[in-house]
Amino acid sequence: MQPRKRLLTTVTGAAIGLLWCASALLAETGETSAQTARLISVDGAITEILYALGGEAQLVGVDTTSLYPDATEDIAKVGYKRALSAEGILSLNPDRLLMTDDAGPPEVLEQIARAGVDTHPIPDTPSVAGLHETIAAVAEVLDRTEAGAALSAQLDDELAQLEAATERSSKRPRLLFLLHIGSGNDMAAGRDTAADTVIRLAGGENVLHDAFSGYKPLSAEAALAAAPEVILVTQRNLEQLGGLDAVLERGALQATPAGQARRVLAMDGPLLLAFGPRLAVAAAQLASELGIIDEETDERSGLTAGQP
Amino acid sequence: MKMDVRPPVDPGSSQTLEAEGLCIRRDGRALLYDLSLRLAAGEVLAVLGANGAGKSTLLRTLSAELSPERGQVRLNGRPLSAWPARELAKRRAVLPQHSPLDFPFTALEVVLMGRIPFGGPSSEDVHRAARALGEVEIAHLAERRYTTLSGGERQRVHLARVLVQIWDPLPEREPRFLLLDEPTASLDIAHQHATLALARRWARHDLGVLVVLHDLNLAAQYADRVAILKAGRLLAVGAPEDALEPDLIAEAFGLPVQILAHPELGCPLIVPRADPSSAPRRPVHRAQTTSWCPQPPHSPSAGALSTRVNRPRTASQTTQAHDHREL
Amino acid sequence: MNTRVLGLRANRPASHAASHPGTHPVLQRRQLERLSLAALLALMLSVALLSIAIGPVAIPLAEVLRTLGALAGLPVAEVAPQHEAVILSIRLPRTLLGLLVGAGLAVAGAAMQGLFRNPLADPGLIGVSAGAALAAVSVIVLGGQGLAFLTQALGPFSLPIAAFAGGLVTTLLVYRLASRDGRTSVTTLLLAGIAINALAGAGTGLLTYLADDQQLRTLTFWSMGSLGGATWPAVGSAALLIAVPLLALPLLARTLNALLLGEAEAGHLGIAVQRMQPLIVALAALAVGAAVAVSGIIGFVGLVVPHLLRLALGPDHRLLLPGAALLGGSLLLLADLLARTLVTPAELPIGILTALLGGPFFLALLLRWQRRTA
Repeated sequence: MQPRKRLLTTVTGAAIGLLWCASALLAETGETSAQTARLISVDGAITEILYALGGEAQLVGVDTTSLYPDATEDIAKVGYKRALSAEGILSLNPDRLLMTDDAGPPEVLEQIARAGVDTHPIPDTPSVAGLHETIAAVAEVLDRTEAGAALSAQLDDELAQLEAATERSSKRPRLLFLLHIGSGNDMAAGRDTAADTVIRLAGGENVLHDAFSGYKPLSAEAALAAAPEVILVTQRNLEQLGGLDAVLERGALQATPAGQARRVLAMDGPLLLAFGPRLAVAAAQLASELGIIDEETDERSGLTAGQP
Repeated sequence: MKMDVRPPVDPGSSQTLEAEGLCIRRDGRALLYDLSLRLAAGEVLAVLGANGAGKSTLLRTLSAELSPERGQVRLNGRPLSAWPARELAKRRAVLPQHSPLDFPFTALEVVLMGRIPFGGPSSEDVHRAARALGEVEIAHLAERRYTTLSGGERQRVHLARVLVQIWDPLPEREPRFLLLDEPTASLDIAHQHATLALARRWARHDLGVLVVLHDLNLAAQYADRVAILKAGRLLAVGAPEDALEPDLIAEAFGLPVQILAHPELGCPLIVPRADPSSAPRRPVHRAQTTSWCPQPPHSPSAGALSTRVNRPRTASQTTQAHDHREL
Repeated sequence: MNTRVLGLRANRPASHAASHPGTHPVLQRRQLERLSLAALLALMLSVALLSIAIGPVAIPLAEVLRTLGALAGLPVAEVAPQHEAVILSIRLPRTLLGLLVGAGLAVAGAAMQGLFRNPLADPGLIGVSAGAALAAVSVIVLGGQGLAFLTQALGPFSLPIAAFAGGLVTTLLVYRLASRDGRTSVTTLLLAGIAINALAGAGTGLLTYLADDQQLRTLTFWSMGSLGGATWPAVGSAALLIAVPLLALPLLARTLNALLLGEAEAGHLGIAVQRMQPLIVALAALAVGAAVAVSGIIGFVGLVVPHLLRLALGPDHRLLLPGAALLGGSLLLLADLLARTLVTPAELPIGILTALLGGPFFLALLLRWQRRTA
């Protein structure tokens, strides 16, 4: 008898309490502000381009893959680009959602679009041509096509310089890029990936370019057969795994030429994988680490300064 | 071998739970072999036998839980398979040896489940259930959680549950039956006697009780008739003073005993002999596994049966005939 | 006393023990139970109202009520169109979906616990959700290729139907594994759950490998569970499929009660066990499958809700099943409210919240169970 009475009072009490909380919460909030050209970017590269084109004042929200520049930290985070919240995004009252094809879930995008927000996707192919398209598309949204053209031209210029520099070298190191994502096998980069393009631009060769497209788990034997000379990882993965030896202990990496020479290279992940306006900078940094380009001779080109 | 020396209390076959020529096999071994037994309304029939003699198999067959490969069980003249499950439930209740129930119902709620065949529990059902708990002397536990009760108390809760299932007389005093599978197993001696005294009280003219027992003296004291099983066969059935003979008991249990007269009640009192090892043992007769059940010597004519229950049962009989061919 | 009875071999009427005149405590309790259900209904309605009223977009309560009033055909003042859109196309379908999924999972959990005679049987723990998810993931990934005939034949219902089939097969498998002679072994049940969860995980992993980027997006959302995909068509298909078990299972409450006594005993009470058991399995699998199809794997609702209700109202399924529907809907809506407001403008996967709540709860239950059976 007693517990039943208690449940009754608890449930009723909870119901009343909840209603009270609701009215209190609602009383505090007011109307949202007036309409401006408000943008939300849910892609790291697009965010970088937006900053490079000077459109950051319009940015009211970014996703968790937008890590550069540091100023993005102060902008509202709308979550992972593949698990967006319809109402969360609408609460920022945006006019346009800058997103790539892989944003989602589709139902949420549909709801956002139905609320009058432009959700037209911006193409993002991990190639230089694709990057030019992305820059042009973002510039058009910002109505800064001239700045966009200038950014594209600067990118081409930097890439041309880098190419010239790498061609002076006879080195063509064979690289394997590994991405550690939690448990299980590490994912290795095949073709059509940001890492593949950056390696090629840096004058190296992705050992898995012909093996497959995208990221796939790599078996120990496949790693051995690929015979990489250098293993490329992100700085964060290197720290997570616990240093060079720990990386080499995984799979059969110790038996590869890279393992025997203990050549493991760690790079800033967001720089390496962002595939934005800093593409040439990332490639130049990699080329320099690999010894393909000489830092001293190329310093005047400003390629290794690490700034966009 | 003694067979049915005393006439049943009610000789009409439409007033009994009757097994005829039951045969059940598992893995080639006969669990029941050509077993015929009749439980009449108004009597307490105790089923005795050594472990594995087929007592529980018999009870499960009588309660329609198992269907025999040959032979038939009829309740009030109608084959079990011809009864709708719910109608059967209103006429006979079965007390299991153990129950897997492990949810915190109150004792009264468990008893009320006995009213499931009659639809939702009404307030009258609540009173019936409370009285049933009184019958088994645990009225004070009505509001206790079943999961907090001792093994003996749980057993008595289930006894109250099966009582409440056949609580009221049926129209035209149609007989009801109570099948109890070792109801005394987890009880102390006082409650063993109380339980059998209750079975005795309930065995009135429209209610028959079949009780599987291990204790021969309890059977001798409370049963109208005892049936002794051995290796799936009926060794003897009859009044305790006739059926409980030293030779039969020695054959059924492999234990030499002496039969005395109860000093107060006059019923048989069975005591083991002082030195069992020196006593002569009868050779153990095993059931034949090669030969299988004989065809029943006589089977009731289908026409007579269907007239009696006022419903043609040709379909089910065809099925049974088919089953026979399958064997 | 017993010896005296012996003298009376002749039949005599039963002398019933003292009957209880007046109102029995059971009858008084029944009124209280009805009140409890009413209280749970009130809780559900208030949580639903909260869920419609609160969200990252600030909408005054008056506007919320006006929008709902307009929906009911009342002559009310105009509401800002964007607010109306948020309420009608985001919050309302999401609230309804949350109620349906929560109610479906809780009722399915309660029914499975009755069927397995074990309060630890949860669709998530014993692998039914994973089985349903694997079937649904197969349809997502292979729908364009190997299973094209299926998706073409079933249209928008192919996902929920596949999930239902997956859930059904898993439930039958677990039941076959864990039930012997009418009894269920807790250990086997949980071990079977682990094995099936692992198998389904492997299957899902394999399909993830085969999936293209577009499909991967859907899979990410699935594995964590979310009500984010609440659109009106999703609500429609979920309502159609979940309504069947939601209405039918409470009608089988007495059968489930009887089954708790054991299969043979239920048969002795006139229950057609051979027919009823598969029916209950199918209904529970339908609820879980439909829930998984629209919201992914959301664990522990089916475990926590029936258990809380059993503590408060007792194990009688006639009360437990409707209570579970009401409380399950309320709890899932509350969890979703937290999921979408805690880290606004982003949102947490709801599966994380229910697991955070249900995990420790399950461990405590297991501990108690162990102590009791030791």
